[in-house]
Amino acid sequence: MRDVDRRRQLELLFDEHAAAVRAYALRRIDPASADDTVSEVFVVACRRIDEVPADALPWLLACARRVLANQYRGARRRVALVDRLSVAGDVVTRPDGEDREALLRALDSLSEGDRELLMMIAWEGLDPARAAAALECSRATLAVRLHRARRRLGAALEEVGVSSPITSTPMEAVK
Amino acid sequence: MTDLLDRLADVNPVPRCDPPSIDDVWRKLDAPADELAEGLPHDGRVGGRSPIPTRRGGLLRRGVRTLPALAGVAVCLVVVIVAVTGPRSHRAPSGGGGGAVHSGPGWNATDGRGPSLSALMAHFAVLRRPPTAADRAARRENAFGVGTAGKTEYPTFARHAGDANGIPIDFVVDADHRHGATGPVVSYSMSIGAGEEGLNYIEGNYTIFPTVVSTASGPQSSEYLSAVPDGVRTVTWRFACPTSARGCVLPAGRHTVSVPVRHNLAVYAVPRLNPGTFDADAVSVTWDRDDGTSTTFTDQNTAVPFAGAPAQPAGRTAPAQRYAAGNGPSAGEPLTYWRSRYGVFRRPQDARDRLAVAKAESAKTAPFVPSLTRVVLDTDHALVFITLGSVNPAAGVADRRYVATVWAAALPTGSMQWNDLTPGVQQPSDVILGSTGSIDYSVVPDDVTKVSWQYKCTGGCGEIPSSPLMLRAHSNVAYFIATPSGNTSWSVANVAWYLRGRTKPLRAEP
Repeated sequence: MRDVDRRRQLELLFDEHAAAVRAYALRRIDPASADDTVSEVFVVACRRIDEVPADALPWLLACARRVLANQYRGARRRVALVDRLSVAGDVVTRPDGEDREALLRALDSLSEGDRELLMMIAWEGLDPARAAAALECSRATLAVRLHRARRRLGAALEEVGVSSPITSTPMEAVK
Repeated sequence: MTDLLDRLADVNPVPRCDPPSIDDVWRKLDAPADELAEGLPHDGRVGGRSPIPTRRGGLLRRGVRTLPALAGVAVCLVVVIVAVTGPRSHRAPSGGGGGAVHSGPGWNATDGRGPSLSALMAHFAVLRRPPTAADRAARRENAFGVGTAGKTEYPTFARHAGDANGIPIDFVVDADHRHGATGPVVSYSMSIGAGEEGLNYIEGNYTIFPTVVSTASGPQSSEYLSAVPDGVRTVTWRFACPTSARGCVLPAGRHTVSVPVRHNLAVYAVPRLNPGTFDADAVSVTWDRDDGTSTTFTDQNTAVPFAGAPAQPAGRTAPAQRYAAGNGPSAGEPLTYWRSRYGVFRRPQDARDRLAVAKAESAKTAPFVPSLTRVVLDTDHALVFITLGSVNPAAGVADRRYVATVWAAALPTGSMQWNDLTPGVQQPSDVILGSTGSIDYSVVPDDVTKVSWQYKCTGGCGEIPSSPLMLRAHSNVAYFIATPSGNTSWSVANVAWYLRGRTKPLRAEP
């Protein structure tokens, strides 16, 4: 593909998905680093434009996940989710007070895999098939992981004194 | 009972957000200019490593098979360390990669800025190929001037496209800085260096109509050359002699010449042109593309290969002649003359130009009614623009002649002043900003890349530099905001203009 075509395609991709990728990054990192992450993701996308699938968002989020992981490793920073989100300042709304913070702390107590999976579905709004693509696993695997992640989140919530409904089976989890 | 995922969705800290600017992406893509210039692969992978790691196997399974890869990684690391810590003589000038490159591929037709590096490279394959020893030599050959610290200024990179009739032809890419030589990079410009020092200079901004280049020493020879973007296989030029010309020389005695394109360059060598004869003018140009399509250009002023890119006129004289005092358009010149020398006239009109038109038309003292107005400098404090006014507006379009006037409006006070745009190296003009200082500016033709001013001031000089100030010309203007610290007077002396390919600058008459 010619470079000019590659860049034209990147512009279309950026117009369509940049906001979603930025939101993804903002939920996980401070705003300045989030913008840097977005540009990194689309630089990668430009260079690998031939590999970007038609449904590009899961691919881009998977890329963003890798970029963020590299950033975390590189900076050796591991800040609690609530603290990370509080850094975002104006983008964080706090309507629910203690319940909200309890939920975020419970989420933060989960393993990185569980947390990423729950956030991918609840916050990024991906359906299980697209979430599976973004997390680079099969849909069946995702169903099992999601069921377990929800159960662990519920347990974590109860530990902090907030009731939680744990009712789904793996198949319900992906319905 | 609310589902856990729904509750989680309710506490989404960023329900939605605005998309960021794509500028940063272009900047990062443009950043490895010197990597590209030095021949590193441009396939989107750094050191052969995919930005998205592939799935990993078990350690034992990978075992021996990964040893060669690990060795390779170790070698790469050594190379990277050497590259990072080693001599940087090949790197771009400072600021070349760190500034905010003007966004997006293609030319921005509204602000007169040049293209981004990616846009340039996207159109010209010769810029994308790895450098050779000849390219590095071309970069040195196309260095110009002596900087404030006694340094030679090098272009960002250069590619030697070929020789014809013994005339070397180079594609030269320079970074344009926002504030003269020191600000962030805002765009890039490309020129075509051909010929010998002090003569045969040519700046070909994306030439469509061919330009004649001649050698001055040794066996005299000439060539017609034109820069051609990717995808064009053959260029056909149709020549005609001016009706008033005597001794017009047609290339090889023919009116039509087809030239194959190599390294983005179409060159047709002419064994000999007698000095003093008129070169034949190309009256039409046809590009035959690889995909079977073709485009014919018949007007060199409207022929633009890409949106907003300036066209290049045919035929230029040597700079020493062009900028000699008195060799100018005092009685008016055709529109083509101005458009060929001042790129600002080759871009479309924008909102700032319309504002300037209104200002110029409101000035009752203007010598001529402006026909064409373009802003060259727009700051918070001043608006500087050039107008072309016809000296014979009743004449037919083809016979009209124009003079150029440089206007400067001080925005805080609304005061306006104007001066004729005269040829030759000029002392800078200024826009007085009250007690805060002045904006000193000089309007320059396309092929002046930098200007040098030596300020003279006694006491209270504030930020006025004492050493010669080297400023990069951008959009046909070089400027400096002079801010003295107190009531003092200052002047500018030792004005010099630097042209690519000339070690010695052109200096203002004392």
